[in-house]
Amino acid sequence: MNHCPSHEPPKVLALPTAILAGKEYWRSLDELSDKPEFREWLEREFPNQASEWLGGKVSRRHALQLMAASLGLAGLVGCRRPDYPILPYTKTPESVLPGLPTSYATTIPRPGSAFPVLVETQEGRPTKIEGNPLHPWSQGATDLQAQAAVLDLYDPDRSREVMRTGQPSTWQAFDAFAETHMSGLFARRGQGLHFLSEDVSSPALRLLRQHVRQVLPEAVWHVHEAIGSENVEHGAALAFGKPLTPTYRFQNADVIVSLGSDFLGVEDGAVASTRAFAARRKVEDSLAPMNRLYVVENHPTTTGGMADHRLRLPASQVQEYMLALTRELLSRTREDQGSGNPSSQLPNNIAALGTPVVFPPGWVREVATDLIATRGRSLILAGRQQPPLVHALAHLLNAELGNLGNTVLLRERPEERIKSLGELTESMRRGEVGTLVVLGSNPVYDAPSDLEFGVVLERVPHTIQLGLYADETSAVCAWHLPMAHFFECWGDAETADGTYSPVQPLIAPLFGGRSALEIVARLCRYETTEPYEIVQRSFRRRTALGMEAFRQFLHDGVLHDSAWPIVNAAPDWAALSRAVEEGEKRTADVGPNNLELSFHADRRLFDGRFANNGWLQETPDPLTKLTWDNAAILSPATARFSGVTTGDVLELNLDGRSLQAPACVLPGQADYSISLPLGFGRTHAGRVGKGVGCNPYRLRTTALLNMGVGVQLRKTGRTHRLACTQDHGSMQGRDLVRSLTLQEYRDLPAAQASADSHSLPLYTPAALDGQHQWGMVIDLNQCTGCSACVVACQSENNIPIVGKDEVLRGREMHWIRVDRYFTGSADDPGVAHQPVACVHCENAPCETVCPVNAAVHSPEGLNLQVYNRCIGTRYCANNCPYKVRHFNWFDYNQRPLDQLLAGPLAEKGMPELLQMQKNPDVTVRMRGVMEKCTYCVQRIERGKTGARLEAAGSAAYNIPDGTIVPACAQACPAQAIIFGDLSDPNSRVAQAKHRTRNYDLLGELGTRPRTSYQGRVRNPNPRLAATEVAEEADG
Amino acid sequence: MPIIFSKGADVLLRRVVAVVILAVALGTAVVWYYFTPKYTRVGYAPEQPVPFSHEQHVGKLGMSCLYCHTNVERSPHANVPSTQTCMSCHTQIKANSPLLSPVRESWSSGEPVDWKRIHKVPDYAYFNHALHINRGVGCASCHGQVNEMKVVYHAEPLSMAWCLDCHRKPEAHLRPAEEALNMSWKPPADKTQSEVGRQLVEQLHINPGQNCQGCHR
Amino acid sequence: MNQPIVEPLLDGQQDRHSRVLEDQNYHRLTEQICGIVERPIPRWWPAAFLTSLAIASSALFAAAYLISTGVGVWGENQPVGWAFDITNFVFWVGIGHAGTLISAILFLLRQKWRTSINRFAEAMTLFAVACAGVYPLIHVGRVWMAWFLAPVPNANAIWPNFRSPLLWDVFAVSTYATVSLLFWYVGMIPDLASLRDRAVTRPRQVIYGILALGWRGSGRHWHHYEIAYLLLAGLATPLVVSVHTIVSFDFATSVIPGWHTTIFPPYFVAGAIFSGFAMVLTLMIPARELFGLKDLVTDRHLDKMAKVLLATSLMVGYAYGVELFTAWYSVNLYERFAFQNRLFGPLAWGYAIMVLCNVAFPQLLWLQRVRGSVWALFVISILVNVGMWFERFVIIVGSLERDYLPSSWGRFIPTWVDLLQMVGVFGLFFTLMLLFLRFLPMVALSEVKAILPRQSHFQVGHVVNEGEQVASRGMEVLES
Repeated sequence: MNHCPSHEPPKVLALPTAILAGKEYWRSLDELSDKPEFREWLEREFPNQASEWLGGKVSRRHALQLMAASLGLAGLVGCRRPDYPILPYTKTPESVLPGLPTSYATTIPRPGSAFPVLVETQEGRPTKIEGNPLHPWSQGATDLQAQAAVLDLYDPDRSREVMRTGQPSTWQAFDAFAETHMSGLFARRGQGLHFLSEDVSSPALRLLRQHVRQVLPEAVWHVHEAIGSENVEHGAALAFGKPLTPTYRFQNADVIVSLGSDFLGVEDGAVASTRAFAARRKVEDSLAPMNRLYVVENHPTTTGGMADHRLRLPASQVQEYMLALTRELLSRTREDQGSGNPSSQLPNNIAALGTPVVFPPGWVREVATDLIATRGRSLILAGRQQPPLVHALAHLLNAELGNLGNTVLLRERPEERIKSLGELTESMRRGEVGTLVVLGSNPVYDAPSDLEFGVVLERVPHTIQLGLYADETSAVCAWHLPMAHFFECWGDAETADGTYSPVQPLIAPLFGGRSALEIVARLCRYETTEPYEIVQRSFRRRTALGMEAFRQFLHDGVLHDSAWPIVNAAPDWAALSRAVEEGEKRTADVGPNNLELSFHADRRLFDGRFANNGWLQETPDPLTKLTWDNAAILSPATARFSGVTTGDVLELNLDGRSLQAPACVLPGQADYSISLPLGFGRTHAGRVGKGVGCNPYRLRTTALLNMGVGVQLRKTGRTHRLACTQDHGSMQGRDLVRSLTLQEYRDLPAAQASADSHSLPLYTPAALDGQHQWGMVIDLNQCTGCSACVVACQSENNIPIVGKDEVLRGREMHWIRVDRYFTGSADDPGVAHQPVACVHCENAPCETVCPVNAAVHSPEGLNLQVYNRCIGTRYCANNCPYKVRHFNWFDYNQRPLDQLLAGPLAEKGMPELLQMQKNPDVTVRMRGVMEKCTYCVQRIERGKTGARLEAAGSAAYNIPDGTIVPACAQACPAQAIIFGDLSDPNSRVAQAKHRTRNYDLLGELGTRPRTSYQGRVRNPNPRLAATEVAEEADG
Repeated sequence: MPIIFSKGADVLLRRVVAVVILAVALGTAVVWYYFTPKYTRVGYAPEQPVPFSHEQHVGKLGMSCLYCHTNVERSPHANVPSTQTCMSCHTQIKANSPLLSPVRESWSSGEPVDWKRIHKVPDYAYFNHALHINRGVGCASCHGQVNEMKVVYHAEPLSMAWCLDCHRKPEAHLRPAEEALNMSWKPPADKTQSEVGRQLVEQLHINPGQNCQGCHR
Repeated sequence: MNQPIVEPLLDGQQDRHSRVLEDQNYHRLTEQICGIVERPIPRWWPAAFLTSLAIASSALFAAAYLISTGVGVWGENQPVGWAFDITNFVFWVGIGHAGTLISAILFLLRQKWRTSINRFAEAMTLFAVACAGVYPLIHVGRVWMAWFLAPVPNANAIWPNFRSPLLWDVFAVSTYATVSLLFWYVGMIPDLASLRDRAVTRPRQVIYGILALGWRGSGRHWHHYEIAYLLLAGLATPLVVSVHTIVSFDFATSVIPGWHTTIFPPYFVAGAIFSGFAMVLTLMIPARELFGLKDLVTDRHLDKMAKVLLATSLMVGYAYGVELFTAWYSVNLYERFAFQNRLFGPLAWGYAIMVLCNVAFPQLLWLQRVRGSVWALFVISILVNVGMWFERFVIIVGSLERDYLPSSWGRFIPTWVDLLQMVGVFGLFFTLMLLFLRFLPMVALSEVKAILPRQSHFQVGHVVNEGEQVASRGMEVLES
C-alpha cells in the first residue's frame, strides 16, 4: 500500500475482504466520520482551539462549532497557552493511515451513461474527485459536474428524513405502509403500479426490473430524462432499422462535421471525446495530422469555439444544411463511382426535400470536397437537439464515406420494453395509475409543460418519491424518501458504450438515505434487499465471473473490454424514405418576424439536477461568463433589431405559454434565434439553487422539446442584474491570446520565440537554486474553455463561494479563471479561451511591494503567499498585472453568504458537513488575507516527501516527470495544462517551453512568468477561408 | 507674576520624563521575553487522565517509540496510540490498576481517552514526522529526553525561530537515520556532534528548506 | 519688485496700516491673541464643536463596522484594491504639507510675513497628518496584525520587507508627524508661558504652566529656544519634500499603467503644497473674520498665499500636460491606453473636475482683483481642495479599473461606509481644529512681536525696519 498518492499516480486500493462483508465495515467508517476519531482529525487539522474542549463529552456538533470559532481566532495566538485535547481512536481502523489520503474507484451515474472516478478520502471523508485513469471514458480527467459531486454529498440541504404528505415520518412507518400496500398490488399482479426512474444504465437495476416483470407482470416501468437521447436512438433506428448506439472515435477523424453537436461540451462522454479530439490538435507530434472541425450550430458552444470553420444557423435550419450537404455529397459520390453504389438507391424524396436556404458560398461545396477527400477518416455527427432525420442522414453519409467502423462505431445494447413519460401521463389521465414510484427523477420540474405532470400527479392515489432533495416533485408526492448519494451506496453502472463499472460507498449514508436498488428490491420483494448482494448478483449475471474478478472490478473501477458488441449495419433506405415521407416537408424559415427559440442543457447545471451546487452555480459559463443565472441569448443583430440590451428582462411567448427571462447579447449566436439554457428557475432546490434564474421548461412542450419557431419577444421594461465575470470581450489590440493558422505555424522561423523584456529588474531576483524548478505550460490550442480546472481547483484548495452579490462586485475567489476573448467580426466572431491563474513570475511585482513579506519567492520558483503573515494591504493585488490575486473581503468561510454585511451579528461557523469536504492539507483562509494559485504546493510537498521517504538513507532522490500534478492539470480533459520540473530538460514541460508557439503572457513587462502559453493553431480549409475572406470584402 | 510651581518642578519634570522612557523600555523588554513560546510553552506539563510514565515504558522497559506511535515513520502525524494498543498489554499487566480505569472505560464505552496535547507547532505550520525521522532527526531533538520523563513536558519552544535555527545548521542535530528513535544516542566517542552532522549532510545531501513553502500552505 | 526699499511706499499708507505696523504694539497684540483663549466661549463655538464632534464619531462607527465585518463593506473589489482609503490618505498627507513648508522653509528663507500664519498652518498640518494616518491603519484586512509592519524581533524570525514603498510610507509619515509636532510645540512654548502668566484661574495656570515647561524668558531660554527652533526647522525642511515623494513611490514603483511614472515625486510634492495652501486659505479666511485678526493676517498675506497657489497650480498643470505627452511619446500600448482612458474612460468626469479645479480656475489668481477679494479666494481655495481630491481618485481608481488584461477590468462604486468614513474624518479634522482655536494661541505671539517695528524706525519715514526689508527680499526669493 503506497502512502504517497501523489508520488505515484494515486493507487487504487482494493477493499480488504473484511470490507466486502458490507454493512458492518461501512458502519465503522460511519464511526470514523462521526465519532471520536473524527474529532481527532478535527484536532489535528484545526489546532487552534478554545479550552471548552476539556468538557470531555463534546458532541460532534459542538466540536465543529468550536472548530469553526477557532478559525475565526486564527492569527490571534494568545500569550497564555490553553489546553488542547488529543482524542485517539479506540479501535485502530484498518486501511486508514491518519494524515494520508486513500483513493477508491467508483462511478457517478449519468443520464443513460456514467462517469468513472477516483475519490480521495481523508480518514473516511471523501474530499476530492479525480477521473479514473484506468477507465477509457475518463482516462484520469473529469468535467465540471464530476468535480463538484463531492459538494453535493455534503450538501446540508439534502433531504434528511422520510416525509409523509409533508409531515416528518420514519423509515419504519414507510416499510409498514409498503408491506401492506404492496401485498394488495401483488394480489393484483401489479395492476396500476407504475415506476418512473431516471435513465439509469445499471445492470443491477435491470436485474430488478426483470424480477419486477416476473412477479408483477402488470406493473409498468417508465423512464424520464429532461435531456435524453431519444433523437439519437430514433435517428439510428431510422438509418439502420434498429436502435443502435453510435460512439465516435475522434482520434481517427481527419475531418469532423458537427451539426449542432456540442460533443466537447454538454453531450454525453464529452471528457473522452475531448481527450480524443485534443490528441489530434497537438501540432507538434507529427504522428497524426491535425484534424479539421466544421461546426454548424445556432448558439455558441465550447465545440463551436474550437471550430476551424463555424456556420451560424438557426437550430431548425441545420436540417436544411444537412440536406444540402447530403445532396451535394451523394451527387458527387455518384459521379465518382457511377451507379451500383448504395447512393443510387437514394430515395428521390430526400433529394427533393427542403426549401433551399442560402448558405455562405463554399460551405456546402468545400465541406463536401473535404469529406470526400478524407473518406474513411472523416466524421459527421449530429447533436441531441437535432431531429432524428438529421441523425439518420449523418449515419447515411458516414456509411457513404466508409466511416462506419473507423470513426463511427455502432453498438447494440440490450433492448428493454421501457415506456416514456408521455405514456405515463396518459395512463395517469385515464386514472389507470394507482401507485406511482418515482426513483430520483423530478418530472414536476423538468417534464414538458404541456403534460402538466404536476397537476395530473395529484390524481394518483399513492405516490412515492425517492430523491436526494425535497424537490418540486416531492412537494406533490404523498411519500418522500431521502435517497442515498451515489457515494453512500452500492450500485453499478455502464457508460453509454456499455463499459461496466462499480458504484461503491465511500461513507455510510449521512442522512440514512436508501438507494433506488434497495427501495425497488424491498417493494418488489426481491430475494435480497441488500444492495451489495444485488450488485454482486448482477456482476455475476453480466460477466459470469467470480469473486476474485469482482474484487479486481472494485479495485480498478472498471471491467475492461466490457463495452457492447460492435455491430456493422447497412443503412435501411426504405425506412429512411418512409420517415422522410411522414416527416416535415418544409421547415419554417426563421427571420425578424419569425424568431426561433431553442433549448439546450446548461453547461454547469445540465438539466437542473445540480442546481443546489454552489461551485457549479458560481462557475462562469465558458461562453457568456454568467454566474448564478441563465439568460435568453440573442445575437447582436437580433438585439439591435428588437432594441434589446443585455440585462433587459424579456417576455417570451410561445404557443400561449410565456416566460420572463433576462437578455444576454452574445456574439456568435445565430441571428433571429434565441436560445435558453435549461436547469434554472428551481422552486424547491435548496438554499443555494432556489429561485436562481428563470425556468425555460415552462415554454418547453412535447412538440417543441428542443427548438420552436414563432416565439414572440416583448420587452418588459424591467432590467435584471446579471453577474457576469468578464465584461470586456475584446483584447483591445493587445497580444494576449496568440493565434495562427497551421500553415503560418509551419512557416514560423524557429528563432521567433516568446517576446522577452529588455528591461532589467530593479532588485536582484530571488535566488532560484532549488533542486526543482517548477513551471507550467498552458496550450491554448487544446483548451476548450470547459472550466473543469476551475472547479477542480476550488475543491482541492478549499476555495469558498461568495454568492451573486459579491460576484456582481467583482469579488469571485476562483484561483484559476478562464478568460474568453472574441476575435474577428462583432457579429460572427471567433472565440479564444485563456485559463489564467497565478503565473508565478520570477520577478514578481507582488513580492517587492508586500510590506510584511507575506508574498515571497521559493528557491523552486514558486511565488508563495503566506496567509498567516498577510495583513491584507491589497498592494500585491493592485500591482499584479494578471489580476490573479483574490482577497477575502469577508469571512466567506465562516458567515452565511446572505449575512456577510451583518458582520459580528451574523451567525458564525461553517456547516459541519461542508467542513468535512475541506482538504486538510490546505489552510482554510480567514477574512482579510490575500490568496492565489499556489501550483498546488501541498501536492508538490507531498510528492517531494514521498520521494525522499522512498529514497531514505540514500543521497539522491528524483521525482519522475508527471508524478506531481496540480488539480487543474489533473482535471483537464484536453490535457492542455502541463506542469513539471523545468530543471529536468526531458520533462514534458521543459520540452514544451522550447516550441516556437510558446510565449509569456505580458512577457514584455519583464515579470518572467513560470507559466507560459502555447499559441492557438487553427487548421482552416484554405479554399473555404478564401471564400469567407471574399465575402468579408463584399459585406 | 504669581509663583505656581515650586523650585523643584523642573527637576520633577525631568525625572518624570526619564521614568516614562524607562517604563516603556522595560515594557518592551518584558513583552519580548515573556510573550514568546520560549517562555509560554517550554515546561508545559499538564496532568493527564492516566499518569502514563514514559520513563517507565521507554526508559525502564525499553519499549520502542514505534510500539505506540505506530505511524511516525510513514505519516506526517505521530499518532497517539489507540486504547486498543494500551489494552493489548494491560489486559494482563496491571489489569485492575485503578490508575488504568480511564483506559478500561474507554475500551468498554468506545469513547476515547481525553489525553492533553503537549507538543504543538505554531498554527498553520505543516510538520512532517515521517520526513524528519527518516532523514535522521531524533525524537529527542524536538521532544527532549522523553525516556527520562515521568510526566512528559514541553521541552523545546517549537517556535518558528527555533525550527529555523536547526534548518539553518542541521549538522548540530542530525544523527544516522537508524538512530532517530534511539532516545539515548550520543555521537561516537571519536567524533563530535557537528562532525557527525556535517558528514550526514554531505552524504545525504540534506538541505532543509528555509522558505515558507516547506511548512505553510 | 526689484527695489525693496521703495516697495512699501508704492503700496502706500493703507498697506502700512494693513501690515502689523505703527498703531500696533506689544500689549495690544498680546491682548488680542491671548484674549481669544481667555475671553468667554463665543456663542458659535459650542455649536460648531458639537456638530463636528458628531460627524467625527461617525468615522469611528464606520471604522468599527469595517474592522468587525471586513473590508468588503467598502466598495473595493478586483481589480480596484484601493479606492477611497488611499485617495483620502494621500489627500490628507498632501494638505499636511503647507504647515511645515510655511514654518520651516519660509523661516529659513527669513520670510517674516509667515509669522502671523505659521502657528495656524502647523496646527492644521498636524491634524491633517492625523487624519491621513487613520486610513492606512484601518484599510488593512487584519488590523490586529498590523504590528507585523514594525521591525521588532519576534519568535517567527521575520522582518518586514524593506523593499516595499508601503513600509517606507510608515516611516516617512510617522517621522514627519513627530517632527512637525515637536516643531509646533517648541515654537509655542513662549506663548504658552505668556498664557500661563496671564491666567487667572488656578487650573489654567497649572495646565499652561506644565505645557510651558517652566519657560521664564531668560536670555538663556531664548538662546536655547532659537537654536532648537532653527535645528527643527532644518530637520523639517527635507521632510516636506521627502514625505510626499515617498507617498508617490507607492504608485511610481508599481507596474500599473498610469501609476508607473517617473514624474510622480515632483508632481506629488507640488500638488501637496498646492492643496496645503488651499486648505490654509479655506480655514484662515473664516478664522480671521471670526477672531478679528484682519490686522495680523492681512490682505497682503492672503495675496501672497494666492500667489503661491497660482505658482503651484501652474506646476500641477504642467505635470498633467507632461503626463499626457509622455504617454503619447512612449508609444507604449498600455501607457497610451491608460491616459486615453483617463480622458475619455468611465472616470472622464473626474478628470474634468480635476483639471478645471486645479488648473483652470486658479488662473483667475493672475488678476489682482480676484486676489484682493476674500470671497473669490475662499471659493477658489475650496475648489482646489475638491480638485486635488479628484486628482488622487482619478490616478488611483482610474488606473486600477483598467490595467493590462481586459478580462479583469472592473468598476469601483463606493458604498455608504466609504462615504461615511470620508465625511467622518473631515469631522475629526474640524474637531481638532476648533479645539486648537479655542485653547491655544493661534498666532505665534513671540515671533510676531519680533517683527514689530521699533518706534525709532518711524521717525525717518522712508526707512523701513530691517524685518520688512528682509521680508521683501525674501519675497523676491519666493516670487522670482
